[in-house]
Amino acid sequence: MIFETNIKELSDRYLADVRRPDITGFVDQLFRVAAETGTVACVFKEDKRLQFFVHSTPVGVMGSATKPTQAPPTCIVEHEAARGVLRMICARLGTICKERTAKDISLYGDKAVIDYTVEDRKSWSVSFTNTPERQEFLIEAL
Amino acid sequence: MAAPLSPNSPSEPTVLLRHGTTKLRADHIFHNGPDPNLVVGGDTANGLSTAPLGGPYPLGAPEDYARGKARNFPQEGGPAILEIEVPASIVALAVHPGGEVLFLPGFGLEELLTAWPQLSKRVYTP
Repeated sequence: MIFETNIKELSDRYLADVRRPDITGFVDQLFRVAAETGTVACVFKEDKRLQFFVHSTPVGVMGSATKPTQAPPTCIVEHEAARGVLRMICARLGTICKERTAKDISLYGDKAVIDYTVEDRKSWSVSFTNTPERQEFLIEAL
Repeated sequence: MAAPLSPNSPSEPTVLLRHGTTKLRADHIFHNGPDPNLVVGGDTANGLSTAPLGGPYPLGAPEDYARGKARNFPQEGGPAILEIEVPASIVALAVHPGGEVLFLPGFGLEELLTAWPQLSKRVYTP
């Protein structure tokens, strides 16, 4: 419930202006959510819906992992430009990865381990896919 | 080598925007416009992501998208930048997340497509 509330609040705060969403601010806050939950993932659900969820098999998360028997916390966000918003979130994640790793990152989809101090977390695994057919991401605190 | 800009648009103020892709796709969009149902190289172009000149580019630079797309589709002629001058009134309809201007169905894409034949535009290699 806390996860859902957090995502809803962030969505209302950063994405409510349909023509001027604050994607950079929203992604920064996603890292803060992931610092608490261990992971945050998102997939395109339908026409105007995004499904944010806590991934159930986090890598290297200490203490905050969801038990496999529990349904992972999920939050559906409705947005007029849902697919575009997810593409922009993935684009921001790709740019963060590009800025923080020596690896040659593809903005169309990649995975990287980056150093990024958020709350008490310093190391993250970020993976994303950002193509016309598929958009999704996973942020994991290490 | 840069191709010349096509005939200029009317007197309304315009915004110079760039879209990074492959040569094949840039040429296709140049001639046909960013039709949301357009299929190029197996992809459906369900919008047009562009960026203003100069940056910063918190969501990625057009050159990086061009190089990435060319890497994914090596048979499409290499990286290319499609540069367009879009009337400010159409740009205002698009999504502006910061460092990017995103034309989507319902968010300026239809208006952009209608104005496309009159827009100044060119394709060049980054």
